[in-house]
Amino acid sequence: MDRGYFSVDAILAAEDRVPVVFNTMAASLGFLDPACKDEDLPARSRVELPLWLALALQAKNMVRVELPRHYSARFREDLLAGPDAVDIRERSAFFYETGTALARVKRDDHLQRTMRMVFAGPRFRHILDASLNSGGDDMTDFLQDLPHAERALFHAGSQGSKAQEAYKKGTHAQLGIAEVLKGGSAPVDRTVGGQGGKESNPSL
Amino acid sequence: MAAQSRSSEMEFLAEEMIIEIEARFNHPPLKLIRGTFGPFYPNQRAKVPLWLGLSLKKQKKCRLVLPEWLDSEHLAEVLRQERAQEGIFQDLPFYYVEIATLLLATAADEFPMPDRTRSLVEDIENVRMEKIRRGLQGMSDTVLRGRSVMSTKMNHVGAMEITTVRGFLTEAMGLFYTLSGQEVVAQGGG
Repeated sequence: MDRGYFSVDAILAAEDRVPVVFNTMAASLGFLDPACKDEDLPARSRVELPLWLALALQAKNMVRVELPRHYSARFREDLLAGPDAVDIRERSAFFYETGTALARVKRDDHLQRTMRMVFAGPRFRHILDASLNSGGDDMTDFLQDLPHAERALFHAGSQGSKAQEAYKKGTHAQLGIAEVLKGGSAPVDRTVGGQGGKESNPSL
Repeated sequence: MAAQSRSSEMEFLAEEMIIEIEARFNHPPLKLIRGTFGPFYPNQRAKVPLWLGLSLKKQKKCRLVLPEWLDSEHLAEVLRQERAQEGIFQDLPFYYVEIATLLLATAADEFPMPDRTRSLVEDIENVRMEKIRRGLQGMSDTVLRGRSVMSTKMNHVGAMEITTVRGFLTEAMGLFYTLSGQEVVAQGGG
């Protein structure tokens, strides 16, 4: 995953919806809650917002961020019981990224630990084996159910093993001479402004 | 960088290794960027970079003297040790795969048993690759046991092996780091 402020992965992950409860009344924001008929959003309303907005509003104490159902205690039990049996991607393509952000905000070490256990268990082993051994097989079925971070890991592994196979077969590209260094019949004009040297300025 | 271009790079760097040739030509010392090689006399041995040796061999201007570690008996012993010793790699040249591949391709006639040598090198590669795979698996087991993975030790590992797992290893360790919760992230808008 690319990291840092401009990380595309992080930006996409922050679009994940999370439930928040408004601490105060929010003027003119009644439209955020489909069930609300007023123009203003009453306090204690429960609404789904993208993570980036939810965190920004919580920092100003306007909302309290809640954990989506797929990070609840009940779901964690199911996950830990059978990590490779759960369709994680269906809940969130950025399960790990969003989960980590939420775990930090809620200071929930157990959530962080759960995600670590889920990732490092049989899921990791399957990805390791598949990415290093799949050769030319069609892996779309396997990849379909993987969340973003796991897909990236798979691709990193399979690129490496494919490169090795290409080398063994001799189909890899050979390093060649850079174009600018290849000789030609006419001397290359390397002067700034393109007026040439002695050859094109006989008066010099 | 794409792993494909890395293996071309590794082969390019492997060709800098010094190899002994038996010249079939006369030539005064050759001044190359990395040093002076020669002079060359017929039937006399001289040391040159591998790329030059391969080029001369292709032009039938020399014989190549195979490096000692490419002897089949030595490789058979390396393979035995590689299989016997679990967590460590045998001491082979960094570019052993690339050098063996290049020599077998260009100078097969210099080998007493080229097919046997080729298959020994492949077997060694496979045993080492399996060790690397087990090492990667071990990383996740360490995380499962509640300990963090900050580094992994791979002594005497080869260039080709590094190129193959570099992507996976760095991506996996990055993910373990993200999931450790220790990453400091600037919060936008707060």
